Amino acid sequence: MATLKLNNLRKSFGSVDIIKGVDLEIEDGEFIVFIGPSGCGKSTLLRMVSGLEEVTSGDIWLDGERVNDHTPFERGVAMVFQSYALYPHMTVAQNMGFPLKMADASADEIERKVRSTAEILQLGHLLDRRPDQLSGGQKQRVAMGRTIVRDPKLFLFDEPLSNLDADLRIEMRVEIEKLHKRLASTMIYVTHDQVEAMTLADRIVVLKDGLIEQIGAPLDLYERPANTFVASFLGAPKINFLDATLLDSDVNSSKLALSDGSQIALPIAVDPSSQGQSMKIGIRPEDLVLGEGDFTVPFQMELHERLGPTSYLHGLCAGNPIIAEHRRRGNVDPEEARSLGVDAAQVHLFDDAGVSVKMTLGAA
Amino acid sequence: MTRNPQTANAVTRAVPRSRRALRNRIRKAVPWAVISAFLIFALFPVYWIILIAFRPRDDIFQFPAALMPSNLSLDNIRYVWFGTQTNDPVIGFLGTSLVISVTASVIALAFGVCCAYALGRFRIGGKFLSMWILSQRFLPPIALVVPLYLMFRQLGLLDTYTGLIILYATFTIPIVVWLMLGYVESAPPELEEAAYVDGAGYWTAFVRVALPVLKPGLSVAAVFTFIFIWNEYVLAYQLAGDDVATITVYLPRLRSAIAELYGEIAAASLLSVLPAILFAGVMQRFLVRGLAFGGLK
Ligand SMILES: Nc1ncnc2c1ncn2[C@@H]1O[C@H](COP(=O)(O)OP(=O)(O)OP(=O)(O)O)[C@@H](O)[C@H]1O
Ligand SMILES: [Mg+2]
Repeated sequence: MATLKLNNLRKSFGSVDIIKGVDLEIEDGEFIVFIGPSGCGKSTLLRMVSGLEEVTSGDIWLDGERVNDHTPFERGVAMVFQSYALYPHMTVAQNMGFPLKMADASADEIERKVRSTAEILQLGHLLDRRPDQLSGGQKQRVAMGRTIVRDPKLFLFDEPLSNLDADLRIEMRVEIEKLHKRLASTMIYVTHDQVEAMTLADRIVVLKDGLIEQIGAPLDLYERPANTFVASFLGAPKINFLDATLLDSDVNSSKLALSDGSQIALPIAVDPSSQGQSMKIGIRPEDLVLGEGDFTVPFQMELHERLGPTSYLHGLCAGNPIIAEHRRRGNVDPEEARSLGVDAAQVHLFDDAGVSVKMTLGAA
Repeated sequence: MTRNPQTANAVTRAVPRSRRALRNRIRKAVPWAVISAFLIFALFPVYWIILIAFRPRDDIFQFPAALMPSNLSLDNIRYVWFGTQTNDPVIGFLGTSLVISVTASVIALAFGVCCAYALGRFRIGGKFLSMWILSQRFLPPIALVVPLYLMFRQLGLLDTYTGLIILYATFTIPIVVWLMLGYVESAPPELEEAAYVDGAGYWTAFVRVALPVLKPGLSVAAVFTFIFIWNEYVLAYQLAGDDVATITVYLPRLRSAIAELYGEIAAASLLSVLPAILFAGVMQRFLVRGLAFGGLK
């Protein structure tokens, strides 16, 4: 049970700034996911919260108490490392009991808690094994078990599933989700994997170069990305961007010129002051359909990639490489696929700097 | 040299099967031949010592020397083991060496692993402290004999266990530090970090988590230091005396006695290498794993 507040948190290694001022408030029981490209500082931020990494400046408030100078144990956090960091010379039971032993729990209590935790995680039959006799998924469970036994205020996970194969990842993801429901504890989870982020998170924090790009519920981020970075980070295949120039905008529609000179009219109203500016139109592959829509964009098909239930049409739209999702089976004739229909409600507009442009759906 | 795989294939196919088999066999035999030659070269002196140790005195100076012994005797071993009028029994010197080697090794290991851990994990002393520690071993020991002798005399440490133990511990700590530094740096720091998160302090994390992981490295270091101390002669010769004499000091004394007691020297040498071999044997299990696992770069 914990609330966490990060206040203008910064971290530098020598002269290199890694975390450049992070503000974040996490409510009790929330499942927060940090996501971002490699090297953006996710692990560093998590380690600062845990107390393993010193803070250069800024404050960490845990349950209303400033914990900058507290050790990890005093903060009452538990952490699952990417490498699991199981103690190789101890058995599963000893690994899981270690935090209790450090807290001077009695042998009885350790035994009891380790047993019951092991039951939850289906590790009961493995208690006497050593880590090198476990499979990847089992090690992962033991690492989870070690965090659960001591009932921490705050759970921290640093890419806990990245060493597992695809099937096991899905399985463990579901288990983590169940665990969160069951324990109702505050959890911070670092991942590269947007599926993990989308499925697990109450709120996702998108990081880039040591700064937060956007915070929000998974679908909010997906549907209302604050900038091109967030828009392209979530979603696979990536969102398509079309370079365009705003020619004209009134209350009902906007006229934009694509880079090949063709013009399209969007039933969307944009602040007219940005007239003449170059913009990016963002459209997700699943919002492009063969045929008609609120408006259409030109298309030149190059490749039809079939995945089974869906397929992807790769091609060019006014010189921009784009991908459209196609849910019907059967062949697509490139000659017939000369244009793609777009659902206006799903269109994103970004300005020159990549920041989302405020817009309203036209009345017409 | 890059070879076109197709031509290479064609060549092998062109060679008749029997010739290829022969070539294969030669390819396998060559390493064996080299290793055998080296082993004979390296082990012959050992064999010769064994031979001398178990020969009656008169046979030792036989000319031409026989490669195989004609008659064996345990006399030499007996003289050395029980002592003679001119020589004390070897067991006392072995005991002295054992006490000094074990005690000094334990001290060096305890200090050394702590230093290595501090250097490797907490970056204490930056880049240069570890180099400075190693540099303590660049000086040939003999260069230190005179100042050490004077210091030891002043402190009353000449010819004492304490003196030799301090001496050897000091001499081997740099070796332990340097060796263990590699192991510390190659062991994942997350293990101790996990321990901190689990509520361990620095010391507990070190003792309960880091040390067990460093065990293979420690056994390598233990073998090195023990054998180094066991075999050390130059300093022992100067700083030991009549009361406390190590086995390496004892051996040459046999030679400078009235006669050159080659048989006894050989017998004593044999007895003197036994503990080192035994110790290395016991440690071997860890040693092989340790050398493979650790950071002997
Ligand atoms: N102890 C350190 N000293 C110097 N630089 C460091 C240190 N730890 C991390 N960094 C740097 O900080 C940056 C962020 O590292 P961090 O491990 O937080 O990235 P990450 O977002 O977790 O990446 P990944 O997804 O690859 O795990 C990297 O550029 C890294 O090189
Ligand atoms: Mg990381």
